[in-house]
Amino acid sequence: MANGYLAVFKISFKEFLSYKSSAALTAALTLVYPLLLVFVWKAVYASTGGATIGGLTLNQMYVYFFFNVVGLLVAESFIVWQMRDCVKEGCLASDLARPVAYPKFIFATALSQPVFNIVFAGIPLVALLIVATGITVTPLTLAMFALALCVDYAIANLFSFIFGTLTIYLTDVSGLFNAFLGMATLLGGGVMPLLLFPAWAQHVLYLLPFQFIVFVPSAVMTGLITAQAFLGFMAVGAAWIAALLVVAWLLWKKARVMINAVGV
Amino acid sequence: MVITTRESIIRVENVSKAFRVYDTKDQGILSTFKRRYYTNQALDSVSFDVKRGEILALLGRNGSGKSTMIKILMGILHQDAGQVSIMGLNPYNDRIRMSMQTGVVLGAHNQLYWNVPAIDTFNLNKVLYNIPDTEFETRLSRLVELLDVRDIYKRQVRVLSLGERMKCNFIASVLHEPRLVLQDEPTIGVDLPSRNAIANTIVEMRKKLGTTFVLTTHVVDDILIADRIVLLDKGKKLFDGDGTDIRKLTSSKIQVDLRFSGSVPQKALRLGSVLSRKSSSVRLEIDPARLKSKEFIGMLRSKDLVDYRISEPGLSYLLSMLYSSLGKK
Repeated sequence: MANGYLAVFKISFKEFLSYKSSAALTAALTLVYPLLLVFVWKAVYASTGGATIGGLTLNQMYVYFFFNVVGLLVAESFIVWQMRDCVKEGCLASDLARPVAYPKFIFATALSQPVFNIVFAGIPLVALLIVATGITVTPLTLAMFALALCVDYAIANLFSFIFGTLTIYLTDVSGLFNAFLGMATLLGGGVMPLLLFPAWAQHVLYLLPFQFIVFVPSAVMTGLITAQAFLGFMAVGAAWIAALLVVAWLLWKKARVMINAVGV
Repeated sequence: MVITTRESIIRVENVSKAFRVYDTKDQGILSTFKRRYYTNQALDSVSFDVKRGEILALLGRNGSGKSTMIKILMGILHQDAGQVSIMGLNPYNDRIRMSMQTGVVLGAHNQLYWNVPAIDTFNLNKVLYNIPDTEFETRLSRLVELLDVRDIYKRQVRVLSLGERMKCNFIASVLHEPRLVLQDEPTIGVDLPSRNAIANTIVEMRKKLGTTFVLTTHVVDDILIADRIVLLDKGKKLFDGDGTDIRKLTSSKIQVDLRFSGSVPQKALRLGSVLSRKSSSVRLEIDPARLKSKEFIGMLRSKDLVDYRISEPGLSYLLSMLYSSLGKK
């Protein structure tokens, strides 16, 4: 059956490629935000007069926010939107007619977006950033970064699936999910690195799953996380993946019974 | 040889399903806040079974519960009460195993990947249903020829017409030669030659492979290939039998066409209800008992009568009368 999900991924990826210009443009435009932050952080560093803020030099801050883009490109998941549209427009029946487990099917489908983003935007961007920022990158750093991105993908998509499943109850969760994304960006280090939060807050934030969507991949490339500390982060990440898997499975099992004729 | 055995492929016992739906009290912009919720009994203790190799037409007016029944048979919806068994499996609990042996056409929903050609969906099904390469090629080229889609199945689905998409949907549903095919309005937008081709394919698959078909439709031509009709109304089973038996549900009147050398005489019009009338001909609907009446026999002997025809009304007419009478109840 693994072949089946691979085939689902292939056709979804091919479908995704039919919007390649739009997708590439969207991916490229994600660079606008960190470019704007260059001016913001330059001003902040100038006003404080210090060489570092929260232990980060201005150059490290640039690296951090540019690599945030890569984390966000991997975390981008259309599962919630696809499930919402299917519940609203009634295509869930077509998907459920196939001999596949729906959660695996939707994950195989949604994998097309991060793969597209990585191939067409992520890899060129990482190469460009390494050259432009002059950071030292060892194979170990790259391996840690790749692993962090895998955890990033899993957690972001599990949240996306959980919110997508909620559409079976609520029909539309756009507002709720957008609020979640805002919270995840803030608490995950998308607005400022977690190191700039008060110490007590950092203790809490390092236990939450949002750090894996933006902070951890960026922090690895910025050199803020040692290999030993990385293992600790991965343990927390694995625990969150396990917990979210259980929640997603239980929710889907319950929601399937709730599917009604109007929504399929 | 037509394969129909006593082995039941589908067993539906006392299945009920209700949905909570709402009406709005008025049409104003704020009407969405004035909802009146109620329970819609989509299916009410429906029972029937379908034998292997049988073609069953599930009929009924709009909202009679046909699509809900198809979705329960597909394992998408779970019934509130009753039992459903498909090939010995519980469709809801064993959906994946069951769908390996099932093909589905949902007329209201596109089942093909929208932004790529239909051939990509066929190739996906080849992998999902483990169809061997050579078998796949043989079946595909036969279906492509039969349904006349050779010029379109490699074209992006979103540029195809509704009928073209439906034909490709049908191909996708039978490529793996399933034991059971569930079709919900399978011929929406399909032109007449292709509709005939689909009907022929269904009959051929039943004959060669013993495939069982359950279809919901409002197209009379689709019903004609069915061995049996199950008629639903307001969630209840009203009828279960073949097309000729359905006459028992109607007033069982006979249609009589009379053509005269001159204008239609008044006494002819008194024989029954006038269905249609031209200057020298009339179509009447009359009670079969009146065929033996003196008035009717006298009319047939009239020298002004040029031609006549006595016929039982067609299925289309019967269903139309039946649906109208159900609507008035």
